[in-house]
Amino acid sequence: MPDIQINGLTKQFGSTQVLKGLDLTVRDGEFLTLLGSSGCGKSTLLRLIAGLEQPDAGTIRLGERDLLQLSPSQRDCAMVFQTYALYPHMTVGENICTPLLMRGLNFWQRLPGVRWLSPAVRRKHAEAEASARKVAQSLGMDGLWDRKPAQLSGGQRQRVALARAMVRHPSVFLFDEPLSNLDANLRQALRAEIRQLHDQLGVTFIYVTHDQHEAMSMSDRVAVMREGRVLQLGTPDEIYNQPAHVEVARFVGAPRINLLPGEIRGHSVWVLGRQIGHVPQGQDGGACQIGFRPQMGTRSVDDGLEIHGRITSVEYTGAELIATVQLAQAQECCVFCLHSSAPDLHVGETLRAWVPLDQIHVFAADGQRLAFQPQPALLDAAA
Amino acid sequence: MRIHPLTTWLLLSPATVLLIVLLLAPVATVAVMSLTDWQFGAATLNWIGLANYAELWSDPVFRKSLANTLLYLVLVTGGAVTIGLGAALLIESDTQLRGFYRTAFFMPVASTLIAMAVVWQFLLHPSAGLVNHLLQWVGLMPQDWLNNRQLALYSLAAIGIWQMSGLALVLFLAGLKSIPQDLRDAGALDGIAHPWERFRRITWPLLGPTTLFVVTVCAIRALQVFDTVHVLTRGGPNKSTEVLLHTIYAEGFSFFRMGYASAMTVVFIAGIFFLTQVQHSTMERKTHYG
Repeated sequence: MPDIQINGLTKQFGSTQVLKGLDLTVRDGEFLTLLGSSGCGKSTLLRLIAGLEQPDAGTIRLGERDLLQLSPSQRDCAMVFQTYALYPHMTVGENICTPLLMRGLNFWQRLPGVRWLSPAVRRKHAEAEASARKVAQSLGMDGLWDRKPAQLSGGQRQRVALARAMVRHPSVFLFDEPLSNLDANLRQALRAEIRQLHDQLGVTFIYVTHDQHEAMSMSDRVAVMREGRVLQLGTPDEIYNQPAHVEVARFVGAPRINLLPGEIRGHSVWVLGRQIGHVPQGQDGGACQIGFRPQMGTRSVDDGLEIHGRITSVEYTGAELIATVQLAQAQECCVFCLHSSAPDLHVGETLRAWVPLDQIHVFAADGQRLAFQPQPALLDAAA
Repeated sequence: MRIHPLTTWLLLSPATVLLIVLLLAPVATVAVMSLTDWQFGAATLNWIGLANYAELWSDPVFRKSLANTLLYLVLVTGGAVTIGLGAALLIESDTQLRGFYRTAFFMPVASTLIAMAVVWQFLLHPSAGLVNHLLQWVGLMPQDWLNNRQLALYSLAAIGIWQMSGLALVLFLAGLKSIPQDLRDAGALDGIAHPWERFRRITWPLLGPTTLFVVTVCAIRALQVFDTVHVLTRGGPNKSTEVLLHTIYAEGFSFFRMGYASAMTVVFIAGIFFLTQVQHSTMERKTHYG
């Protein structure tokens, strides 16, 4: 199977431009997640790949094949919906058999009653049922074969939807927020199951979600989307540790990344009144944003960017304490996640913490990441 | 807080009184009257038991009237459901003029049928009517729609369908709206792509509860047909358009046989009651895929 190549895809609904010239390559057999807040165009992109919508411009190719020329059922994609989209009037078994019967039988063979007249059609039905039962069994659904969807729990319904997608062995699976309607425990369990399924089947999964935990924990690569464009495409590690855009940094990671206003003078980067390092491309007088993760602050090492201020709130989460600090040096607040065994922190007290300079991200005024070389610690050139 | 039983009765009394005065008492009166030979305006009446019902059983006019009503009911319900569903599917597939079509089709439901009956009388007029002019224009024989014994009931049924299909259409449109788009999408990916397949495998089964509801509503309304018959044919020619309500009216207020008319009314109420029960049970089973 070749890769899926998406080029210059645009889509407009009324006056809203949902996709603005989107480019993306989905590698064969990878688990790619489209991550973004609602309205970023991720679901639209998925529906375009499935063929449920037609783009205004751009191409979607599977190797040499132009997918846009094919109808949804010819594209060899199976989709799992947030609402499960099971046929409510059919039993679990009939639901799972439907894709096989619709493909395996022609128009005349599908007419009601033909099954009882033609042994060939009867055999096809038996074959479909056999492979559907096998899939249902692999997902632990064999006991529910004769139930109607209304009699199933949310998790069971989504498993049936998975089985219906798996039964025809598609080369691409499309997931549209499949876990959003489930409760937290079930979501966690199914997350692992879907990832296992991907490893077993070895086919391409394209997974849409707004939940960064899902995206980070399941994917080979994540495409972070915003306003109809892909901001960054990379492994979860790259997305988290080297965000290509300030919006990526803001969207991924909890609590949210701390951002402080900085300044670029010549080649040097300044924040909170001190120089912290260099950027290769000089941008004289340019404003920039300095970011660091709440987890990166330490209270023990007297090294790096010093942050101090009054604690305005403390949240206890079990393993961690989340402290919000009103900086003494600037208008902003910073959030720190500290190990909960740390000495007691109280609201109103002063917190002093240090952020290692190599954990600092620098973003230009337009949001793009800048290559940043931290200042060697001891050459601290206070102005 | 404990509610005094007297308070309960006091609060219930207005509704109870109205229910008894307006609903239960008249029905009970009719039921009792159906067991007598009371004539309208007569000072005395005799208790005759089930004799009225026995007469109904053998009365050719009543039998004809019952048969006509049932035929009318089947024609109008079938026609209105077919046209309503077809139009709803067409309107739903096009987004532009949906509002206009909905209003246009619903207009006959909202308008007064007596007034519309006069319009129809004009349209179906044997010599001056538009329908016959159109028929002649395409080279077909003009017909006397309302005075031909073979045609009159069908003409009335056509008017009934014209009036009722708007209601069916609006109900079907609501039913179609409640089918989630995701199901159609899932179908498109599963290979349920052809419009006919989509209708047969997704739309029609999911419209099941709506269809049952539309059928009963149309049937109840068709059973109550009176105004077009009274204005256009008065049950004629030769009883060919005699329907239940009109027969009851004629027996009671033209022939003054109140006892006999009451017996017919009881049969009529039983029919309405049955259909209402069917409708009620379909309403209860909103989630009908259990």
